[in-house]
Amino acid sequence: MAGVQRINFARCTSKDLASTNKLEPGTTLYRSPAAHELLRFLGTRQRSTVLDFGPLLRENVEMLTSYHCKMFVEDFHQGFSEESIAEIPPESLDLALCWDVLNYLDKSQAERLLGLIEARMKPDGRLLFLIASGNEVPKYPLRFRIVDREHMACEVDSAETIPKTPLSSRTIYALLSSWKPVHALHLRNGLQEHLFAFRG
Amino acid sequence: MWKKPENDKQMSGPETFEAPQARPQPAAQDRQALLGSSLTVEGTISGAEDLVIEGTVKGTIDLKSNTVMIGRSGRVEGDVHALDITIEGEVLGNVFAGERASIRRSGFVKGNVVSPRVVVEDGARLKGSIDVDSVESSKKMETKIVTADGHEKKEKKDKEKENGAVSTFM
Repeated sequence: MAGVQRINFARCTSKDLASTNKLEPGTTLYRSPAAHELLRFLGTRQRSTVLDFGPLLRENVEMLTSYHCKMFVEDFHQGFSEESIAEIPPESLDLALCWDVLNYLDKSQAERLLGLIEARMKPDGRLLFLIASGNEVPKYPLRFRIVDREHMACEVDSAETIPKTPLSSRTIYALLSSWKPVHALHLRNGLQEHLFAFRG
Repeated sequence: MWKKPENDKQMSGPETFEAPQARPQPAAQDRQALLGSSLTVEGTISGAEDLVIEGTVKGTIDLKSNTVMIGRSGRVEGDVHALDITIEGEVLGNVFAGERASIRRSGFVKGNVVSPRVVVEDGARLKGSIDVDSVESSKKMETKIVTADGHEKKEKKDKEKENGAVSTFM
């Protein structure tokens, strides 16, 4: 688990620490301002449409559907297809959850994926993604769970790491010319958490 | 005291049998049908009884008032309409559950899941969408409110909204 380090649980509230009992070994719980911001954002919308590139996780389904979101699930772990994303109507997405998918793509793949998302994003829609700060990433993408309005948990499947694709934060920012940053934060677990808003 | 002679039975002539009482038949909607793992059905399945599928169905399942369980070896290539749907096997089609759709750990759905309540278990796979608030599921909820004692049901619906429409396996 070289790419991911344990978070300092002392920063969490007692309620959160209690909830860690439910977390599996290899899971990191962290305070996530992006989770807070995106849930606040969903609360302002009537009925949002979300595209989730993570696996089907009960906490995420529970949280997002509690906001009456329609969820499209396109699991990067299982290999996603452009055809499936293409079926999502244009300008219908309020939120895209890319998690750490960009860590596993090269520039052209990232450009292609972001293009597909942009074509389906409503103006002012949100994009969440995380970038590894180091040169290595876990062999398989992490699984992120929205634990509550303040916290996320990420899980690794394997301790093995692989070199990160040479897609720097700067390159990603350059690809996001149609977006404006809402929030960015270096997390203690070696990840950078980013939330962007689509200019439309 | 009168005592029945021991050979009374022998004396009573040819033995007669009462016709066995017919077992009370469950109402159609309470019955459960099983499609075994070696069976394949092509075409629409409709009716008014619960269904457990361990085999393969190539077509639509239309059991809107009943429960459908797609077992681990079950596979459905078509849409599934039922009141309560549990998926442990595979569904290549859309899932419309009037009350609840559950995708278990071993379950896979390639299609859209439309239900006012969706239950997923970690490890379940979905290629498609989840919609708990579609026009169809909203209609269903509204129907329930009208038919039952209005106020209480409305509160229940509001509570469900507050708590989130999805419950989970622990």
